Amino acid sequence: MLLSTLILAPAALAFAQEPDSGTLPRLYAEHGDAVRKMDEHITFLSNAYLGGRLPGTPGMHITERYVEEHFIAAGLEPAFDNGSSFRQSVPLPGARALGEHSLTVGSWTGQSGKNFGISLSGSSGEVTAELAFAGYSVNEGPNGYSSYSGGNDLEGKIAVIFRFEPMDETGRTIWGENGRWTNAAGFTPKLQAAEAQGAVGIILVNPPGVDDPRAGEIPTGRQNRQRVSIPVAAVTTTALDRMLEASRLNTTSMQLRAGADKEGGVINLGMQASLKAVISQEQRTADNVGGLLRGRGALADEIVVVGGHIDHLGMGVYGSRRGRGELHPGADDNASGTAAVIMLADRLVPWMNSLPEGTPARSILFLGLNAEEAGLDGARHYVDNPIRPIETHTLMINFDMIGRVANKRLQILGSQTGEGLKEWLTELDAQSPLELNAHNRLNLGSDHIPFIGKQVPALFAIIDPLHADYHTPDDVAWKINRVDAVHVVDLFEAILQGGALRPERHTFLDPRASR
Amino acid sequence: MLGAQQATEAPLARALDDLGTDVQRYHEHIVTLASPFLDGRLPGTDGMELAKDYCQFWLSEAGVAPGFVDASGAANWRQAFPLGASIDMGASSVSGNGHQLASGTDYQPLGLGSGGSASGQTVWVGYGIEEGPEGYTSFPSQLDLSGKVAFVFRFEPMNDAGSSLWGNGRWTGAAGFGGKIAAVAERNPAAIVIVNPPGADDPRVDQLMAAGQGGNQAAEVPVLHMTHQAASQLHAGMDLLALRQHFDHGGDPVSTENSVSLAVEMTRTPLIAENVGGMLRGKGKLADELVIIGAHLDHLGMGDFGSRSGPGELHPGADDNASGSAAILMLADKLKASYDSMPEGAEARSILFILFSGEESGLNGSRYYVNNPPYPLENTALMINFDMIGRIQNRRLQIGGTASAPELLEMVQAQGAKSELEIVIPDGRGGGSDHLPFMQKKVPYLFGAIADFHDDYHTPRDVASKINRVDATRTVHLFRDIAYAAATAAQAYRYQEPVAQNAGGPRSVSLGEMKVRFGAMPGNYEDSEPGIAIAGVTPGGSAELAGIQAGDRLLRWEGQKIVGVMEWMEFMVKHKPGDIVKVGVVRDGEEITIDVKLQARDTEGK
Repeated sequence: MLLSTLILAPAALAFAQEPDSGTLPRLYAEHGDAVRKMDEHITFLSNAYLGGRLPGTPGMHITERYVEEHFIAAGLEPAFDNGSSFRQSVPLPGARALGEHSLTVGSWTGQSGKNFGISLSGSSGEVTAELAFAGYSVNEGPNGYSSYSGGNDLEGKIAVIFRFEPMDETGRTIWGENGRWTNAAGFTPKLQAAEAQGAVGIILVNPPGVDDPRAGEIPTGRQNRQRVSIPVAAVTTTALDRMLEASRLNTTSMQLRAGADKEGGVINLGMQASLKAVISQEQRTADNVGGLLRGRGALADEIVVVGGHIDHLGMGVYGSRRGRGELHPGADDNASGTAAVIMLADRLVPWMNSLPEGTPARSILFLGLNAEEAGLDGARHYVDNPIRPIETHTLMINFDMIGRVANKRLQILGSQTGEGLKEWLTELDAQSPLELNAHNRLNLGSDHIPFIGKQVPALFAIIDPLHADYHTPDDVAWKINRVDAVHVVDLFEAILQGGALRPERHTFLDPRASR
Repeated sequence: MLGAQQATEAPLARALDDLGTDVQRYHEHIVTLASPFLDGRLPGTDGMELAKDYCQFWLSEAGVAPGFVDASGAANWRQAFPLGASIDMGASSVSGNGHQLASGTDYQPLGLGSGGSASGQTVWVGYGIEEGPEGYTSFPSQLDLSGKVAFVFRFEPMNDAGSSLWGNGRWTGAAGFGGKIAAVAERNPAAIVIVNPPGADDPRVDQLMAAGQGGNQAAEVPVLHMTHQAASQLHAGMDLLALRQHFDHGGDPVSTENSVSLAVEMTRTPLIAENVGGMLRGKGKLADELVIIGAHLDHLGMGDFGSRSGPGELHPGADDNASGSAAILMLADKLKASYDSMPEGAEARSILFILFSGEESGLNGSRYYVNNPPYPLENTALMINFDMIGRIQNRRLQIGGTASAPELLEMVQAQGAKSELEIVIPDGRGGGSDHLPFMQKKVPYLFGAIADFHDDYHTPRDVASKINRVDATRTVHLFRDIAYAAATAAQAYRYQEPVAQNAGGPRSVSLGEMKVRFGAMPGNYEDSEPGIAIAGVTPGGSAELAGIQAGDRLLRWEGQKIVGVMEWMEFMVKHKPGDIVKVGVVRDGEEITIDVKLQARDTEGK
């Protein structure tokens, strides 16, 4: 076959081909490289082969490598371990399993699963101490209600605390509306309050007479995540009464409840208890992937961060709106944001290199954050272990779901957290084909939150509104609006350049002040 | 479905929605397999490991069983076979005359040699040529280099302008690395250093080969490639131009008083490649018979061999052959569904889906398969191969091999009548790919490929975005029907020699039309190795002047595989005298590309 005829073939193709056959190659040619790259990144990352990018799985290991190799190809330096590694290991709460455990109060010995259990919110431990009753263990309730006086009310004691919160005679909350328990009834704040008062162990009990379907349970809770560093047991109401029979106080669970419903206070029960729990924790890690683009001159020590989470829900093991067992590809959430971070690295490295000699510019840190879906673990870990002091981080950009822009609308949260951000976005809005909705609510949680918590101004880009495929197996690649996702990249390319060059930083503004 | 508003703003999403789930799936496979992240799917790379794992995943998702059985009798998705070696260069050092040389800039250790250390006095042995024209040799009889470090010039004797004295302006085969290293090694030196000769008229004269380059070992001692500046430093500033001229005139070896110490660390790891396979069990009495559907998964990596545009750039191989690999993955899924819905009592042959490796380096995976068949080849009713189905133009799909069994053509045409594709039946075998080893074992075969070649073949431009997903998906649909028909036909197809039936086949190439002459005699016309063995070259002919030697094997013509002599003639008949063609040649197990200037046929030998 002659080479000369071969060379002609692609040109002839455009005219000769049936319209449908050439559709995709033609669209790629028409919309350019950025749209093609956006498509290829998202299509790769949401392939079923990657298993929904669940932290700790082989699919996530490939995802981490994918992001790392693209950072390397873009020309970024390793961000971590003094510039020697692109990875920052994030410890993840693995599954916790209960081993040996026991509870003895005087002559009463708990029978596991029957009248007593261990809460996995607590830690392993073996303690013998006096029992003290601490009511509902509420630090600050309405109308000045508090279970504690403010000192170390439970120093060295095993605290006996009620689940739920003060209730009326029918066993319904006196604080909540329409009979709904308030946040004070949650496990975690109770346990943490008791620990803060110096308790060395906790026994959780269902209050007698409570009007709640869970009243008969052993209230261990279903948490699989440690919340306090002391062992936590749970017993039935009947078990508490058995224990109290041995007490010299001559009281009952109902009498204790009546007191706690009215006011707080700690009552020494005058009994010794021995509590033992052995909990094993599976250690898992996932990696944040970070690449650094070094800045210039006097500003180079400061950092602008651009991140997006690289993980998703796997087979829907948690967080799914459809349930377990089906692949959640997470094309919009957040292969789209991951692609944006990679593409910005590709664009900003040559931009930084082409700055005129002597132009001061901040360093730009590109982060593929891990384990967002499980609770912002990667971002939290980063802000506690930043590559440079967190005060040097002047702005954080977070992408989480930028792939399904409809009607050109993009919402941007967080503009109230930095001086000058709102005005700047108004200017950029005029130039972008997108319609920016920069509002003051911080109602959508993602990896920018831990940064704002450390007083780093942050902007969070996300589609407006969310779509029905969110956190379902239908969040697939073919539905992605690649053209507008590239518009998001274009917009934030300008924001990152401005953020790197602006002589003065965007002073942090507390978002609570602007509510 | 997308909301109407989003559809108008998201053209690719709209197109993918319109084109349907099969095109969407094909798109996913193509984009993933041709991603730069997969390293051009070169055997031995991380990317190829990932590509194999990817195919195994999707075969497993399709619900087929592992296709192979390992030595212990356990089911296995992989069939391993040896494929050369990979070299890991460690630290190295060279010193002498008070100088410590820098690896990478002054010299480069080569994979043509071994690891190890050596020190000794140096001896210059000219160009290291055993036998040149007019009695030229670099080696006086009885030359023993024991304990010496041998220094050898690259290329071959040259004139004052630095051009070959032998090759009419081009280096002849004598200039090759492999031959001179082997010749020097026979004299038992402690190490061999190849030096770029000063003044040579060649753009490579100031370049060093890449570290570790040359996977096929030619000597059991360290072999280094060195700049002439560094070599001169080791010899107290010796005038290497004068030394070169000494050898240009046939001078004897020169022993020096200088000593050199060198050390090379390298690890040579035999490379094990793997075919990936999945088995769809048949039904009833036919289940012991087999239909194979295969495609090669490997490609050229960074283009170190086989590239038409040179090494150093990623060759994604979207058409070649992510396109065929994707088809296999989809066919496994579709045929599994077809088998699951067969009526009770139906009979069907088993179907083995294979992703071959090592195709680009010479059909190694398919060759290994036919020589080590896990299922008897005589029970293999049909082999279907895809190689490049991603760039179909004008709906034209070529299907080769229809003459390899009676009634195969009729079956293909009957199934093809249902397809939107136009089926093009080629003359001859239809090209060189993994069906050939099966053909040689007399297994009937079909070979699907684009009917119209494109110029992105074996270049970095063979990218995913150019793939015609729609017609590739139509190819999948067509071959689902063809494979199903072949698997359920009451009578198995019986192999016949395809050429006998095909009067319009490749043997119609008339030598009368031939305007050029290559000047080389093929060895065995029908041996089982890929390409054409060269038994001898005509003195002064095109081949000899370009440096092609007896023992070489012609593998490629302008990047395209040379399958057999007749196909090679088809390539040649299209050239005119003076054309320069890139010919891929295997010499000493290594593929090199040689520019051959084609001479006119009627002047040859005059």
